[in-house]
Amino acid sequence: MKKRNIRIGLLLSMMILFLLYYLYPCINLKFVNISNYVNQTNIEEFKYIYFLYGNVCNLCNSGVFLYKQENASDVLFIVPEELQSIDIDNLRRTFHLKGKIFNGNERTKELIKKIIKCERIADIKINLKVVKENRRIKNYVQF
Amino acid sequence: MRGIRYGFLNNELVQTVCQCALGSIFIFASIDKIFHPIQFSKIIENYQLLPKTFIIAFAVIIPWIELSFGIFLFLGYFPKLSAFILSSLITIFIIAILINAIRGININCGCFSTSPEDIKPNILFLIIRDLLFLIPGLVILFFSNRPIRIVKKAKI
Repeated sequence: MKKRNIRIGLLLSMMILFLLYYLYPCINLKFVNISNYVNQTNIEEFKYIYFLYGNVCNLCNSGVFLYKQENASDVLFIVPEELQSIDIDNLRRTFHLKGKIFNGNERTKELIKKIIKCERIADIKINLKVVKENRRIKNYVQF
Repeated sequence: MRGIRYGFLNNELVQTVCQCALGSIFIFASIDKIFHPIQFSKIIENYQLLPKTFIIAFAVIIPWIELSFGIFLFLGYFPKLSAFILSSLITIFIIAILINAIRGININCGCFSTSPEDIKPNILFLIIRDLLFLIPGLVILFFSNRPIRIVKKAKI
């Protein structure tokens, strides 16, 4: 009986260690301060942040999802740094986006990398909707 | 065979170490798959061995089998049955990796993690590692003190 108790104790401590090891990227994400990654002074104004690093087209799912956000002003859109102002204007006009759109940088990429690490997604080229609460990530959806 | 005693492998300490080692390997391997069944199903799909209808079921059931029998083995419950099931799983994994090696497909093993960041190790390494994992299972199966009880049905 004593030996079995030792085994149960060992098992429980091992399980806790394994869980911590595997859930570390997601636990780490919970404590991320968005303002450290998104270089915007007025970050408090926005409730949602959209990272548009993936494919966006009119008729595909991502486009349909974006159309639903038209006229929402408490939204911040972050696009890859390669995108020029003319592309940003096109994006705004096509999807009737009212929120602020700006180019991301290496820090924003780091934030996306943290999310994809938790979600086990291989590629950084994804579209993400992040729901923000007190500078922390409350929830996120890939679209 | 009954009369043969394998002193070292029969030893209680060796058996306990084998049980804990194999059990912990499978518990460790199962946790990430339980949390990420969709990613695991994609890995199984890449193996191109199962029909699509079975992939999701396989991705959900296998990690739980690994975890439950890993825990049983670690705690010393049904050691032979658990060792048999886990060794069978290892054998299936070796066969799956071998088939893909013959096909020339370099797949993400998905053995311990569903993370795409995992480096794809070479197939020879995977097979040797899995063969090493098979050793404790075989030690428990064939050299354990506790005999397998086969209850024969009485003929009426």
